[in-house]
Amino acid sequence: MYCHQCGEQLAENSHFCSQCGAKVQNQPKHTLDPKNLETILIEETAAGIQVEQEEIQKPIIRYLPVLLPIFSLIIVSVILTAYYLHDKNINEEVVDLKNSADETALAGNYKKAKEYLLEALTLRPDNTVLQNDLSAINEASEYEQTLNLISEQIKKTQFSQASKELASLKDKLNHQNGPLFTPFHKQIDDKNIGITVGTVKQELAELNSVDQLASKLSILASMPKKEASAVKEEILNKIVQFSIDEAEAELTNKQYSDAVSIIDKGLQYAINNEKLLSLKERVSQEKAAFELAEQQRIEQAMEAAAQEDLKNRTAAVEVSDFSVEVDEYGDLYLSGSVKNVATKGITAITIFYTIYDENDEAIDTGDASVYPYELAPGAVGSFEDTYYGVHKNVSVEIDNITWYLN
Amino acid sequence: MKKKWIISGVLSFLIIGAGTYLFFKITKDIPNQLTFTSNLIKATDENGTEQKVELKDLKEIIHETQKLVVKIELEDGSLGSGFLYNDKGDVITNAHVVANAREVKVNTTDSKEFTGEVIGISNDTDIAVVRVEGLKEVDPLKIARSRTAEIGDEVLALGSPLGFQNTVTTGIISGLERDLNIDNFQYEDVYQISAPIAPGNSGGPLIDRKTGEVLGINSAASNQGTIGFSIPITDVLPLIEGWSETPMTSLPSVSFKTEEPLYEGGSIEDYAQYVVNYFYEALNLGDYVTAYSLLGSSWQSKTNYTDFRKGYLDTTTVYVEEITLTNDGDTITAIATISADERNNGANKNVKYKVTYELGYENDQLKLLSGKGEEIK
Repeated sequence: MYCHQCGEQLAENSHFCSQCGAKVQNQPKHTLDPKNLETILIEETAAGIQVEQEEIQKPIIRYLPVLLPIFSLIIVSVILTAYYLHDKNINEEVVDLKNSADETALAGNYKKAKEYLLEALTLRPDNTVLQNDLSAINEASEYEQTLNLISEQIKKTQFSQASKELASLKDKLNHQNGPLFTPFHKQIDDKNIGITVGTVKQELAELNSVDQLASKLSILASMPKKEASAVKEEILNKIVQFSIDEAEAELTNKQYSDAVSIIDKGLQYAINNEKLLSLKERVSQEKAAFELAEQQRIEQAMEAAAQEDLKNRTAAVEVSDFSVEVDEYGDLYLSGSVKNVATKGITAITIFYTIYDENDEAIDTGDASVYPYELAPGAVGSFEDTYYGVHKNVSVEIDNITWYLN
Repeated sequence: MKKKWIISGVLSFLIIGAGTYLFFKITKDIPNQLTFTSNLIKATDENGTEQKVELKDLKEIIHETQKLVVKIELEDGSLGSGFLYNDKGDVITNAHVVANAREVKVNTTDSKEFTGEVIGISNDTDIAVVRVEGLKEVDPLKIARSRTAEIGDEVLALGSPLGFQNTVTTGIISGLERDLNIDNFQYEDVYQISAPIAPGNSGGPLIDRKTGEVLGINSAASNQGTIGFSIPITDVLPLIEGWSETPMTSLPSVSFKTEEPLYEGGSIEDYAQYVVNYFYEALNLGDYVTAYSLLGSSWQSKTNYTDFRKGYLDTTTVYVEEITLTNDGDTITAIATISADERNNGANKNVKYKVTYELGYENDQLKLLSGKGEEIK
């Protein structure tokens, strides 16, 4: 007979195997059938009731009450250990998945991260950290889409929509904190720069004054150099162009100080711009030339006025038809007409003359008044005078004419 | 025998019970052993992130600020204030303080005297930058770059009013977005402050009482009551920084005095009427040169004085009977009825003319740019 447990040969009538301590079953049909034996064992443990064997195998029955709890303990321990280890394993797996999810999410691959997290969640559906992470990633990927949309809008120069979207995104992001959202803040700033610079660029065509342009420069001043410099350059060029145009218009109007102040205003922004500086130089030269020319014209006018005045004072009267006659009685008659060649009326014209004899010796002097008393410019008057008793051939010369200017 | 079974049964039951309990405990506890926290999100902690503004002691602020406020003196003795704003030794001040000067004298509160060079100045905004080599590398005043003042903010105005250096006046922001126009300078959206600004205080900093940062540049005062005006620093910082980066090689001339017109007060139309009347008065008096000088340059170039004079040879008296003026923006059209006594073959004859003049500014003087006339019959 052999032990059904370990196969050791058994002594006759022994109740237990000397090798393994298993109960010896003396039923020949049972010894040959280990399957059956197992069934019995399971029945024992599962239900703890043995009916058949109790009757058949007394020694086994005797020990069963002791064995039952021991087996229970062993089986329970085995199951629990296995389960514990299995669960621990799952934990480790979840941690791994989470780490992968973190890594991929922070790298920006939200889709993959989501897959990892969903896998982790099937293992640990109740983990709130995982759930929160998942919803955060969902939000992040939503934000990413919004940002892509904004980029698209910026590309299409739909800045007002982009700016609206960006504002609402920014609002949402304000409630979010953590490394997942940190890159968004920078991206939002970048997009904001893009929108601001783009808007300024778009509006540039409609701006038509230096002041408007300058206010755009102020906006760009807070933007980083790299993005804003091109537009800034463009604005400055425009400011220079506007200033030149306006200044040249003023130059045509001969408004030199206005031109200079326009140029100076442009130079505030386009500091040391050569075009403006040279225009400023030109303005000051033209101003000097203008003033010189004006001064010359006025000087000429004053000269002409002075000449006119001199003529009025010294050569206002022209004498014509001056005739001298001595009649048979030896009396001298002289007459003539005068013309006012001055530009003003003259009055009290008196002709002073001297009478000379044949030897050019002065005989006497006399004067004659012109009639009418007043002569308008261009008007003609006459004079006559009589000198009694010259009795000779004489000649008369006008020495001087006097008049008063009106 | 029975007793044994009962004990066995109870024990087994207990073991299995304990096993079941432990099983559920494991089911419950092991997931909880996942004590990781999220690496992606942080719980928002709104109160924790709020930065507390450090309140500084008033005396401390004054002491720290005063060192960086300078007195600016021009050769002609005019005074102003300024303050250091960067480490290049650049001092911000008002344009009217350093108008038409290249070199200025700069005095610090510790009685050091430096020479400063104006490197930037505006002819329409009242700001300028003076570079003082001697103040290089000195820690400048902090500028409130991203914040603008609000009504009720407590402020300090520092400067050298009437030449008294180190004067501090306190007040509040009493108004916002004031627009003024003083001496050719545009003041747009400036702060109104309750601290009085005296001459010499101009160009000094407006300091936030709480943080000690610069909010504005004190610029103007009203001569009635204690009201001052201060230009918000954020509005002009781009301009100022542009000058610091690229100093101007040639400075604009700043004219902040309004020109005294020949004709006091009134509109440009009134002035135009005055010019037309003056023209005829001069003709009446026989002062043709003065009348001629009122003509614009292109008219003068076309018509020389002699020809101009010829036009009035027969005119004895002339006066303006009636005049109407219309402003066309750049120019003014004056239509007048002129009554003239003219000599006609020795006889005086009264003739009436309708004349139309176009008046406009030329080299800052209102001139008769063109004119034509026809006899009214």
